[in-house]
Amino acid sequence: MVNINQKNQIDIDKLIHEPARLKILAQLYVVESADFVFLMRQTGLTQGNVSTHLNKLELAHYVKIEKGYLGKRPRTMISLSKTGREAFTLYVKSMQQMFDALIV
Amino acid sequence: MFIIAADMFAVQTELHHNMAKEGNTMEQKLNLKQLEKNTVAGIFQTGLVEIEMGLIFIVSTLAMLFDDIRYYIDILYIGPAIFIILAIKYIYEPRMGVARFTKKRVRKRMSLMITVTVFLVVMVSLRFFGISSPLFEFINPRWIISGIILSICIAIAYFLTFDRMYFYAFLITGAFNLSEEIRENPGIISENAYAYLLVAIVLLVIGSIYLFRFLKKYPTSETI
Repeated sequence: MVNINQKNQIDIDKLIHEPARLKILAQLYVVESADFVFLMRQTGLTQGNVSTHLNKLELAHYVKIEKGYLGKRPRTMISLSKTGREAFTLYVKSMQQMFDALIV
Repeated sequence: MFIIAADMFAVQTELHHNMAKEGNTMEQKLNLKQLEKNTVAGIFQTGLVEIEMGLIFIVSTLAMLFDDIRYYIDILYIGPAIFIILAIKYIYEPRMGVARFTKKRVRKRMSLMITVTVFLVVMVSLRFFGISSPLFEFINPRWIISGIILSICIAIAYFLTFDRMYFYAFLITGAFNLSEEIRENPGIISENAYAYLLVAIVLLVIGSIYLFRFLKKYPTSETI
């Protein structure tokens, strides 16, 4: 269900709407889970950028971050939480609805 | 609302600019299906699969050339398998990272394995039991085997989203037919195994070019 506010405008999730976070969430949406390097490569973002945005997404419980080791090397696996998946689906629907309502 | 729309347009353009850089279509929308396909097909941009296939064809050539010690040469087929496992672990994953794919994708891979197994069983059955079949009075077994080879390669291309495999499908089928032609009508080239060597060389050259480009484009994660 798409959120519509009191002014009859569509509510857009600002956390997802940021371009870098949108890229990260879109990438996580199409896989079960991925590591940090994978996200960097697929989104074209820097290490610092990915890290900052992941922290924000984790605080909102949109992503789950599991830190572990593969041999001696640290490996951080990231996956979209149920809340995150639902929020992303809702965001896509909201945007689609908004674009449908646009008269050019 | 228009600011949001403009922002969204920027995101879409940026995403598709990245996709376009990777050699994909430049559509004006965030195509999640395409994104998933690109993600899965990442390994095919490295050239490692071509090198593995090239090595398999080299072993096949050797096995055909030295038919009397074929059983010893067959052991060498383990080489390409070890190569791809090590290459993914030490070349691909440190540079591109690791992802676990969705259940839908895993099911698609399973479908591929079943399809390939069925075709292989049919091919082996034809080879060992079917040659004397009355069916072959009407159809040349060569065309049936060609069809099966083509089907296996096309199934791999389709299920794994490996677009270059469509070209290799025709290359490999062509090599099989060339090999059969040389065997039936030996001319200047008396050894039919060279048809497979030709495929191996083509695959190794293409694979090496892709691998070189990949290594140049993506340094290891330690140097990021």
